[in-house]
Amino acid sequence: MTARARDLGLGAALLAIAAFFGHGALGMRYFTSIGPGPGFFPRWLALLLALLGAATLLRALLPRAGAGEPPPEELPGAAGALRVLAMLGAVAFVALAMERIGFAPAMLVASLATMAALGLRDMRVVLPVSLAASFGAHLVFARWLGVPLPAGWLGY
Amino acid sequence: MDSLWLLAGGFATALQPANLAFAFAGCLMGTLIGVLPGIGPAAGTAMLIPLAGALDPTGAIIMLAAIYYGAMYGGTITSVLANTPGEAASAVTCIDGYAMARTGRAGPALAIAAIGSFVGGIVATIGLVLVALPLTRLALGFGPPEVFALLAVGLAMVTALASRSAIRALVAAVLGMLVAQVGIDPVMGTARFTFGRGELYEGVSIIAVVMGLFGLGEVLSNVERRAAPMSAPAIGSLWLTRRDARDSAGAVARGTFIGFFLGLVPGLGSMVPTFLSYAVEKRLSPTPERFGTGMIQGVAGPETANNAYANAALIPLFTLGIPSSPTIAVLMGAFMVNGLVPGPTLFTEHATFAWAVIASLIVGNAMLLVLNLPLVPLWVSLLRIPYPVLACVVVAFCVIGVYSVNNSAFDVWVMLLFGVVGYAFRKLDLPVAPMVLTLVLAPLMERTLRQSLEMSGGDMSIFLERPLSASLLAAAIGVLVLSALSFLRAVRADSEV
Repeated sequence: MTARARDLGLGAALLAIAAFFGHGALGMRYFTSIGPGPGFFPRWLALLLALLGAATLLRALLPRAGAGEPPPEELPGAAGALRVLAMLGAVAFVALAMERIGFAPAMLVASLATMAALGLRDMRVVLPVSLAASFGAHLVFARWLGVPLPAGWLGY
Repeated sequence: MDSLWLLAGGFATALQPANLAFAFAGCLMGTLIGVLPGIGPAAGTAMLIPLAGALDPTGAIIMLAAIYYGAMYGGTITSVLANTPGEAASAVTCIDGYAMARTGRAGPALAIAAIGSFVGGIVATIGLVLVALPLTRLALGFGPPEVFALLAVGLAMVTALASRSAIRALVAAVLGMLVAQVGIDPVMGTARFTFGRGELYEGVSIIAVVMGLFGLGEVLSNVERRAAPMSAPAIGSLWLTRRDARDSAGAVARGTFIGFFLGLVPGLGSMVPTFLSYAVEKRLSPTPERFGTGMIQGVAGPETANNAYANAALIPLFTLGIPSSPTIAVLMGAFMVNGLVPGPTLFTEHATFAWAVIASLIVGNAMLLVLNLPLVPLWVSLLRIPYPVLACVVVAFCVIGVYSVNNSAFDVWVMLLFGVVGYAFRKLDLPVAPMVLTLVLAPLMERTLRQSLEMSGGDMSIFLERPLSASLLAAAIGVLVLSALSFLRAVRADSEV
């Protein structure tokens, strides 16, 4: 990814976000009889973001865009992207399942899957860590410290 | 004298065995968080909020504050031993700290970092004691225009110094303010950008955003790169030579001064004092060309500035209710979880609590000094933990921390979303800290702006008619102009060493 491509993408994204918030703010009252209304602040913020987005786009379109800047971060390769997606999938699974099957079983499945996806296969490490991060954490936080965590079939 | 009597009362509470134990546990956990790469102080402090939720408010905040400044010191250990900053403020310590370690002088580097941190922390806390009551009295006289102008100074500092590019910092700051628009409007109570979801009426959970941006976002970056376990060089003797002590004394004094005064500026972030201190030491040295080869001043100055800043940054929080960094924003969230509102009323309505926490800062800094040096071998052994193990543990803590604040799986989804945002910010070279700061400050900024305009019937000149707000706004503009001048550019150049 070049600095120019990065900034073109960023500028476009900022304009889209500004359009979303600006459109929403237009539906709110800008000024009331006592002073600024709920649409006042978001409207100005959306305008400012749109200007910043336009400035970012314009800079990216200049002939010497990115010259003298440090090289941008590389996009992940296929293996790196898969590991990132595995991590996201694990957290999404916990968010989806924790109130249905309980925190500990959901976290146990997510931990086992994550460590497998990240290339750690030694069960002498994987199993105790997964149990500690799930049932152990539930025991400490929910049972001993009274932190409310959703419990499932086994009371965990 | 009032302050000293109140501080004595604070010590009576802070020295109770339970509170000593909380400070001790906080120092240990904070150092652990600082040592482990991939968990910065903001996410680390947020992760441990549920632990604090089980305690009484005084004990909880004492522990979280100890975690905060413990993490600041912990980050030094990996900077010196593994050339990997445990948290951003310690990045500059890598330069001469790691160079010292490679020549067998890791022990003196860690020792001067601990001593400097202690001196900086204690002086900053004494400063807090001295200025707390006068600043609180001053703040109680602030009207909405003055508060708005003060926040504008913070925003200008963030924009000028949080990134190489002022535009990129401003983008992050405006995005944070837009995220803060989600929820009930702070003046009229109208729902904004909530998509009809009740969970969003109170706004987006700050803890979920911090965990996402700093915790999960960092984990995603590390798993993409497949972070490897680190190895560390031998530590050697921890004793400083007479020459080390002589060379470091001035750097410690200057670091204390820089860290303390920059800690008073809302919104600055913890990297600026350390890099500024490094730049000052390099410029004052008769042998600036030897910086980078293991000069003890390059460790003593920044590490002192780091901890002086960390403690002084509590001053705007305690007296004005304004967080100076993302970690302080998390601490502010913890205050609120415990039913305490930081700001000038804290010293009138919860004086015992406020002075106990201030006294505990002194106790905690002393504990850090005594504790950490003997435990360095233990911290080093933790560096060998495989990253997948660390990632699992961090995710488990993040989920528990986020869920426990509102008992809501929805907040875990918010964390996931902001984890992706944090990962994308790193790819797009956008700084994360301004987003968190403005997310926290935007409701107050909007409320004071709207109240000011209500007072003036919509006339913006109200900000210029009141001397204090006019001066603060002039300062904000001055900061933005200064950011274009050579001095700050030089600091930034040094920060890219």
